[in-house]
Amino acid sequence: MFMESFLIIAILTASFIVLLMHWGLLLLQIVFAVVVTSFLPTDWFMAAVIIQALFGLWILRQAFQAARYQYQLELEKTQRIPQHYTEGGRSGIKKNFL
Amino acid sequence: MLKQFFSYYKPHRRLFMIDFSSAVIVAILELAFPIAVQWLIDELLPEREWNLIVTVSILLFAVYLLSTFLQYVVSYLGHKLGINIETDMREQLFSHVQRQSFRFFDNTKTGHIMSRITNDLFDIGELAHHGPEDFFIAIMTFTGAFWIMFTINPTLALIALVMVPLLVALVTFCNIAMNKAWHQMYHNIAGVNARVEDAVSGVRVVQSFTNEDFELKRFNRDNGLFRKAKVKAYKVMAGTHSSIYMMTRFLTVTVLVVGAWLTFNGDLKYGELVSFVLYTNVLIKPIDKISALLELYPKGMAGFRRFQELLAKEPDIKDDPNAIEVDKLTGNIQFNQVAFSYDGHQQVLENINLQINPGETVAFVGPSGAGKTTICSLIPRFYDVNDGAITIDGIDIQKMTKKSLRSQIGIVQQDVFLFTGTVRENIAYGNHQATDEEIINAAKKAHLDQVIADLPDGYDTQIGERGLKLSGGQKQRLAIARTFLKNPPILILDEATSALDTETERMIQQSLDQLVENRTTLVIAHRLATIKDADRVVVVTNDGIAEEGNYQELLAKDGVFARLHKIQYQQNQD
Repeated sequence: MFMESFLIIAILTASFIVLLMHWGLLLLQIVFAVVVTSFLPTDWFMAAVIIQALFGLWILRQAFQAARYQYQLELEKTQRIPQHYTEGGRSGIKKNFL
Repeated sequence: MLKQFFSYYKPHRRLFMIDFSSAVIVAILELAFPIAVQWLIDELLPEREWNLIVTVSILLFAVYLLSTFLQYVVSYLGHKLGINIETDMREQLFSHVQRQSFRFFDNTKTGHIMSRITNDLFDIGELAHHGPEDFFIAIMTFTGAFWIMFTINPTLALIALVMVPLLVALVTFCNIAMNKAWHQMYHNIAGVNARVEDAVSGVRVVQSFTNEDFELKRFNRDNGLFRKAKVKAYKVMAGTHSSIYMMTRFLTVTVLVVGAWLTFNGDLKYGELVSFVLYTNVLIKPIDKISALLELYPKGMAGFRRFQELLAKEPDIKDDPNAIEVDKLTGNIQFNQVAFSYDGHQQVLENINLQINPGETVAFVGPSGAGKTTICSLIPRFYDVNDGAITIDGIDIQKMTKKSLRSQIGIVQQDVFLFTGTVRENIAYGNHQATDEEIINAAKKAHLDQVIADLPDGYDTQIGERGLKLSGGQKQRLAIARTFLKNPPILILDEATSALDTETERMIQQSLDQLVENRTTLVIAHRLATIKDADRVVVVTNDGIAEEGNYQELLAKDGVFARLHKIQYQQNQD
């Protein structure tokens, strides 16, 4: 059951990493998932699930911050708040959100 | 801010509840259907109970019908809810903007106000409909579908789930490409709009220079760019839809192959395999919805913030809580130590003391920017004085309600604003309760009746956008007719004839002479010849009121007025 829970959280976390467009972190997530499922002794699964859950929550927080960033950007582009992300003619568009 | 946003749902909570519950039922039915199919295949088919199978199939059909009806309800009522909220907000904003003072309009671009009232609210309306509903339903469907799949077969469920990040990646990249394409398309349509606006507004210039071909060439170039961008946008859209279709089919095939293998090994029943395939489609739908929501949310919420900011701007000219309604003023106007500044720094008027008697015609002359129009704008409280007071019939104008005060004042300006509509509607703007007879009477007094008689549909003739089909003199006479209909005791003529030629001016003057009878009239004039009959002339300079007296007295005084007179006389001679 730990294995399944771990995989569910890992896959959902990977989906959010994709949404945040951070390929390095996605690779790290894949490697971590492979290591846990292939090489980790069963006794350590509980710890792996906890680490994965904490990491998932952090990624989820980053996703909310990304949404907030997009909202701020929209306000800046429509001149409602002083320029910060778009200062100096920058578009404010990020390649990734981490 | 979210709390404030949701407060707009309150008047429509019944609609929201119907829409939301229908969406939840649709989602539950969507989740239940594969289970029913699984039961039919695994339990009923092996028993060969044909009657029961037919009964269950009829029930399933009924459930489908119910689901179809509820989907219609969700789509129709959901959008209706969004539109209702958008309409409420638009009404609130329009009414708020209407209450603003001239200072607000001086400092705010018309385009910005238009944008707040139209475009921003489109996004808010969409968010109001799709936001809470789609978010809840997407999470519910995704979790529900995965949970059911997981209980049927965890391995296959995890394999299906692995495809989710790939699908998220595809949807994200397709969205980025789509956004770029649509952005370019909107940029190009803006160019086409600007070109059309230029060519239509400036059609007189275009035709007088016989530049129709040149304009057509320029239009075709912009139109071609727009076509190219739109074709590209649809190409990207086609690619996006095809890729998502391919990905979902790939997931279906993967589930089918792995599921078949599990079935061979006895780990999965036939019905479970079929339901699994059906569930893969249910699992995918929410991803698309969440992706669309991620794009809509920042736009909608930013629009809502802009809406709130505009709504938070309190009008700087408000009615005093104890303001009184005034009726039938005589027009005894008094300025007591009046001071005024537009920006709070540079004084435009200072220590202005002036007494205007009922029925008196007072002309204001002086150089541009001296404050003549400002003096007259203070009387209807288009701006409030910074210091001192203005009274009419002994009552401070700040103690009167704005509506009742302004109903006692008529204004005829140099730049007449006419609304799109008929001649009758434009005259009746002065008094919406006026009868046809009163309208005709007002037109006669303004010497407009003959002009109207020559129009193709008389009083029902459409005057075009801003009265484009009328000449300057005709427009001015229409404005005078409107003021006759309003019949106010106080009249302000702000360079009413300045933009007209001498002949037209003389004709208009006759109407104006009739209009000013028995009213307190303030005339702002550029041409001194038009104020010869004024009871009193007030010369306003940058230092305030420099001279006062009748026309002849001021000429004899040989001061500022005499100097202005001399300059104009010389110009006329030249």
